[in-house]
Amino acid sequence: MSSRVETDEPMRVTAEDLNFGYRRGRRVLDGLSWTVDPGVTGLLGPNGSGKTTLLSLLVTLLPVRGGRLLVGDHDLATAGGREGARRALGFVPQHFSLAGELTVADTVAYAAWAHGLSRRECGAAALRALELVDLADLARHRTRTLSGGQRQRVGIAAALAHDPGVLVLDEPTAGLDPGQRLRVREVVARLGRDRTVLVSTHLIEDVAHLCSRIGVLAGGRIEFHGTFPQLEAMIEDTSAGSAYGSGFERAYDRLITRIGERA
Amino acid sequence: MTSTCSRTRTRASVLFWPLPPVFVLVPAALILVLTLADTWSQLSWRALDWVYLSAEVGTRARLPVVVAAGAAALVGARFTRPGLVFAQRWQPRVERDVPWRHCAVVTGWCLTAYLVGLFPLTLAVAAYGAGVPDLTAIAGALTGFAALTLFGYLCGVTLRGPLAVPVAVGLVFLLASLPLVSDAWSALSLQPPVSPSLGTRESTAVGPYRIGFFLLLAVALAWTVAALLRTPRRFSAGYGLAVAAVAVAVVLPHLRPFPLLAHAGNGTEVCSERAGVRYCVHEGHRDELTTIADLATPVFAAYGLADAAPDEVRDLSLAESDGEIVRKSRKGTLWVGVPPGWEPEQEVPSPAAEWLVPDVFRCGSGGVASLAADAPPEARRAAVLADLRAWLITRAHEDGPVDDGVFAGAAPERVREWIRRNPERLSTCDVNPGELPWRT
Repeated sequence: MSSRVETDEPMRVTAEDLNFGYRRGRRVLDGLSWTVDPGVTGLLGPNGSGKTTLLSLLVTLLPVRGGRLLVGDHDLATAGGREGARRALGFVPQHFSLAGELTVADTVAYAAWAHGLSRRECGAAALRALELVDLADLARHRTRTLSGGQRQRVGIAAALAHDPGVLVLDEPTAGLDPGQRLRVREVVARLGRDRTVLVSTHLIEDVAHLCSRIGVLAGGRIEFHGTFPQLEAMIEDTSAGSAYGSGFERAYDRLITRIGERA
Repeated sequence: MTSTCSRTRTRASVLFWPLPPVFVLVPAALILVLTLADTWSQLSWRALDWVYLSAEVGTRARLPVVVAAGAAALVGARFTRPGLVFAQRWQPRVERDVPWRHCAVVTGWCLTAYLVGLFPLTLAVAAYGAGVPDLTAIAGALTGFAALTLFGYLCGVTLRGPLAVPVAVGLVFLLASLPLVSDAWSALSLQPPVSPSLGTRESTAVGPYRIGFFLLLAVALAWTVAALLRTPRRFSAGYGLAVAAVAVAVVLPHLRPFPLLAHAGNGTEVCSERAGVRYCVHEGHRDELTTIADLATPVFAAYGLADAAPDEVRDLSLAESDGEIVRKSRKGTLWVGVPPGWEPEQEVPSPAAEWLVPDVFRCGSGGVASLAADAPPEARRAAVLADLRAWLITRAHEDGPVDDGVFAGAAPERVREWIRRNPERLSTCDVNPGELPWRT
């Protein structure tokens, strides 16, 4: 898994003047331009801001119709680019399921194969991915026996097994208890050291602990892009307090809403 | 230790990859049991031949293919749901490689189990060694098996719920049974309504048409599965063309039905002569020649009139055309069918007796034969012919008198003498039960 880092440049995700609207609906993305660099980047935004649409475009579930969206050098407006991006991407959707009759190792190996690895490579790739998410000792367990946090880590391992340059996580800690959330965060932080990780979340703790950079999506554009301290400074300006806690959460919500209104 | 386990496991699971073994082993075992149960009684059959076995590959697949389609539907429904972590639509292999592999594993196991189930019957046929395998019929059956399994998978991919399996099972059972409804479906299904055997074959058009149809169907189904799993879903012009071609292929045999069976016309005869009658069978039925002669000779002898016996008793497998059967029958040839599983004790004396004694319809009773006192005279005369036939049939196995009918208690010599004196009256159905000498 580490061989990719030693030989390849980490990939960036680049959006240039990206537009998208559903039929008969308002424009969801409106001239969005943004570069996601290697490391862990958080994607924040109020409900309906277009986070899900942006992720769907990124993982090629929706077609790019206006502007450009690049994963590394792969231009998602072209069929070849989409094909290349699919191999370069790992995605953990917010809601996914596991086949309970498969073991953890078989599940991850299956995902690696579905991502394009040869059958011979899949076993070893699965074990490496499971080691990365600290689940190697559960490799032989059926997935139906796993806890919520373990299932989430299996999902991450499945997205990692083909060694993607870009990992996209949609609400990776949603619905987990605090202990499991911490464990998943540790894993994601580790993964961000040698690849580009984009985390869509609404949990400020995730952003605070995980993300070296943050983008706030509102009105179809990235209205804020910076570090967590910069976001924190903006929150302090809104007189909510200097340390994050319950007051911070409320201030964060107000800020996100205000950025949305401003947009 | 981990890597050793991994290597061992990988090697073992290659045959199932990427499915859990239970998803293919259970249907394969069921197919094996079904096939063995379905063919077990045939292992002791007489006159088995390769032509028959070739057709049976399709005929006996009717239930196994339903199981295979159900298994494929379960796999399609269970392992292609977009929520699954390994069935996400952006994963590069989801559109083609995954369904291809699923179908290859399910079809491979089910088809192998089916062929293993047919193996004992194949050995039994090989023991006789009559005829040659009809490779076109076998290829059509195997292609059909694969195509209908793929159809089951499509049901799973389309429905993706618990309904997928019963729907696939029901539809495939219906498709496999259509030839039983109408002959026109024979070119579009696994089995002919009548299995050919030695001396006959499927007509030239049916076999290749069936292979072509199932190949076309498989292509259209594969295309449909790929289109359903593609992101975004897209149905190309080529796909439309394939579906249209399948529709045309379904309609054609209904507009112009194919002849189903034809005479092979390539048999070498093996003959012998007994009591002035020549007996000839297909060389593949060589073992049956003596039996036929042994069972027919006493029937002809019991009738007594040498002129009444046929010049030749001939195996139907030797017929080169329907016209030849009619022509030679008129010139003194009695045709006897020797199909696989035949019972000569039943099937030789009966046509021999029918050859000697006119049909009861000649009596003018509308086919009714009765000895009742109040029965019309025609029916009573018809009873004499019917009982004479029955009496002649018993001659193949017995020498003495019979217990019932108008010939009850009559010594064979006496019957034979009576026949010798009344051939004309028998042929015109002019004998009343009351005038038979042993009844007066």
